[in-house]
Amino acid sequence: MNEELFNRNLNALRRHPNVFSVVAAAARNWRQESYSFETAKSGQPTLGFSDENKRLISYHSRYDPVKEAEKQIQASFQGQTHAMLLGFGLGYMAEALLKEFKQRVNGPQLFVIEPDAGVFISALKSRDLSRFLLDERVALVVGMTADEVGDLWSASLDWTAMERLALIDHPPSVGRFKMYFERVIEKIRYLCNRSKGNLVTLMHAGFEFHSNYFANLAAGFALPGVERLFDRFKGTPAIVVAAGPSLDKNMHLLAQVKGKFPIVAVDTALRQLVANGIKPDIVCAADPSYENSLDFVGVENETEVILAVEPMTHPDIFTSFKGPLMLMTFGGGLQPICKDLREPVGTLGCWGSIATTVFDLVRRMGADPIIFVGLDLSFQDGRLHARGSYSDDIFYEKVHQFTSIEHESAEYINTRGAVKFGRADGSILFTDQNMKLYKDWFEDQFRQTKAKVINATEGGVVDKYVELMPLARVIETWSHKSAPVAEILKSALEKPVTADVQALLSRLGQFRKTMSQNQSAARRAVAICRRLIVTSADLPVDRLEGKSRAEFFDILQLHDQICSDKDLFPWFSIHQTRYITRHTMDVVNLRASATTTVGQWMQQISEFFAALERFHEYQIPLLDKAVEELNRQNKSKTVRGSYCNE
Amino acid sequence: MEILLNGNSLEVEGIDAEVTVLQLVKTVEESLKGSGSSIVELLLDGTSYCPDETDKIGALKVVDFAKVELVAVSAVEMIQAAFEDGDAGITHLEGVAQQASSELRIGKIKSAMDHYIEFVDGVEWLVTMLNNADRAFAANMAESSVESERQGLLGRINEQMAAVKSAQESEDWVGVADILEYEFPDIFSDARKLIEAILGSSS
Repeated sequence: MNEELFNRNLNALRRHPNVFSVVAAAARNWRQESYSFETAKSGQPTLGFSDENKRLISYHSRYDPVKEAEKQIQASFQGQTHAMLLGFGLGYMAEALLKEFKQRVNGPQLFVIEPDAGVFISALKSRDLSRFLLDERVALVVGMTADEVGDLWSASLDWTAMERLALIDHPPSVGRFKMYFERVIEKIRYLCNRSKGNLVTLMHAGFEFHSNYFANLAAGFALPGVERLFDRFKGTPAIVVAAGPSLDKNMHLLAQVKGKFPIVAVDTALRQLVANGIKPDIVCAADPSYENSLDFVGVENETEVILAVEPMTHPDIFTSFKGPLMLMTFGGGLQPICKDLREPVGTLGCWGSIATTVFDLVRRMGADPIIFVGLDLSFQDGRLHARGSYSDDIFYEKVHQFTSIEHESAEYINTRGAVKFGRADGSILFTDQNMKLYKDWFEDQFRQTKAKVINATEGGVVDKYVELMPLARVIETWSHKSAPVAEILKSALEKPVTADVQALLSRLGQFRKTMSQNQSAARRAVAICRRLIVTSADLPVDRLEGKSRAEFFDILQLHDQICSDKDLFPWFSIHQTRYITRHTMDVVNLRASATTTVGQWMQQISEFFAALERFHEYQIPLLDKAVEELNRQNKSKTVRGSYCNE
Repeated sequence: MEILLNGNSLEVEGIDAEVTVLQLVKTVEESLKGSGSSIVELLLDGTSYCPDETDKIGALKVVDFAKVELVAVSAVEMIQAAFEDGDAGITHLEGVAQQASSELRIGKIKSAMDHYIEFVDGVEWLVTMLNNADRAFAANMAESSVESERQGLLGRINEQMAAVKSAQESEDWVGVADILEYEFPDIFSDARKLIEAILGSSS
């Protein structure tokens, strides 16, 4: 084995810090005995692996591994923008695949998964992979669980740039780790479905999210964060209250655990709980829509309930709710520009339903067991939610003399309830595609949660990787494990908040300046685009000369500079999601084509600057208003809750 | 009703409504004993059957057919015919080996195994043919270089078949694909030359 080669590869591997640390740790225990190295007839190294029964599995051809890899890629890759290679071996397929990418898009394009760190080390010891490892299109995952693979992949991928994904097997690796790769694929499919949903949500509601972030900035910046609650309820049972129809069956029992177990509810359940005499300790809200803000109508004055709120929430909730507020974040919106200017907020996951966030909060609070009620994720007795939720209000609005709320609910269920589940007791429940997705998410998360998870819904469709138990029995079993809930929450609320409003104002001022500069530059660029369209529309780019050529590339540079602004471009993308998604694909195609003309480029860039102008028209007043409100509050110090302004 | 053996009319006594085609085949084979020939095919009103399909032809009555044609050949004739079809047979085998190897390389194991079984049967046919070459081409095989080539080739085939079977049993699919893709093409090429040499010497 060539140690010099290994060290060169290891040095290049520093670009992949996760893999570097896995490999550095595994290299100490790496034993050559399980791996047999041979030189192929073509001169390249090949690898064999002997399993526990001394059965030898060849990872690559012992005749010509390079040619073999080329054939494998030819048979399985059809020019997709992204590929996931299941198994690295000595890297021949990965290298062949990289050569086949014709389009360069943002972010990594080739995700390589090697479950056996020993095989990866064998590759580093036998082949010079430094160029491959340094290639920016490559993302590596080595020796991780299937769930970790999915999470890492999802986090590092630029979803807007992904048109099509190729899942490519390295057959000997897949044969050796069949179950593992099945699980990886299942996870990837799930994430693709979810992200497709997220992108659709962004296209429809991105504008709303973004406006709310700015409208809530002054009110939320100096609130205490839910991170103050993390690990404060270690080993204490906690109740997650969702708003499914089965909540009506057992919510009255929650009175028995009030003050002993933290009760954390979704916003949709608040009214029903209060109407039944139950005051949850915390209620979480994150929905940006006005409709969802109706959840708080009639319960605005519940001052014993803490509202944990994400800044994307509809501003009416911030202003109307009179109880104590805590801030939580999903990590997006304005959080990246605020996080170094205040104490940690507490980042929670969100997978489309607020119940997923409540679960994540309770999990991070250290609760064990985590007990769900009202988590039906299905229609029950002709109802969508527990009685009294705002969905009933919406249906009531539709009711007239020839119909009823039951009729309206049934109509909704008949149209949407396309997914059928048979229960153990022989009953059949119906759900819709979204709730089916949430069910899959919850079950996937339950499997990965260290704390015991109990579903005490007494109905619904969530039954995998969770213990099913009636709420009365849960209370009987766990009542001896209580915590001083009120006391812990009080101390979390009362501690002064560290938040630097002045620094935030200065940062927002800088953004304002950059936007003004971009506005002027874009106006000038649009004029040049028009001129180039008139003078050189049909010319291929490489035939442009002199001043026109310089202007053309200046415009492209301005475009790229705006697209690479790590703060402002995400705002632009959210406001113009639909346009930016299409533009990204169009630019990829223009760059990939050898026959693209100046006219095609200038047309594309003009549209981009027009979209940028629309963004500025919308963004600048939002920013100005947020700055004005922050200034006003900074002067009067009238923020909700106490805080220490550094 | 007409019964023909290798195109010549055959008189068979005692055919009544109950006599099956299988019984007819057995009677004719009995009469061919000592000639070295055996029946390899039968055509019933133009439809081809194999004498080994005993269940099928045991259920068919001779009188139900207007024309029963029996084809009988000797072992020597069979070997000669096999040698004459040798080139086409090897071309087919090459295709099957290539197909199996390509599918194994991309992980299509199930489909590859169908081709692999066909390949093993084909190699068995080739080995049987080469093993019996001296029965049909005794004079040619007496030439020492042909005989040593034949022995050498059979040795290589046995060696590679043992290796490929061992890889297959360990489910080392890359190992199987390698042998099919890189070892057998030379063997097939040499087999083709040997067949040409044997046939060439006899003409």
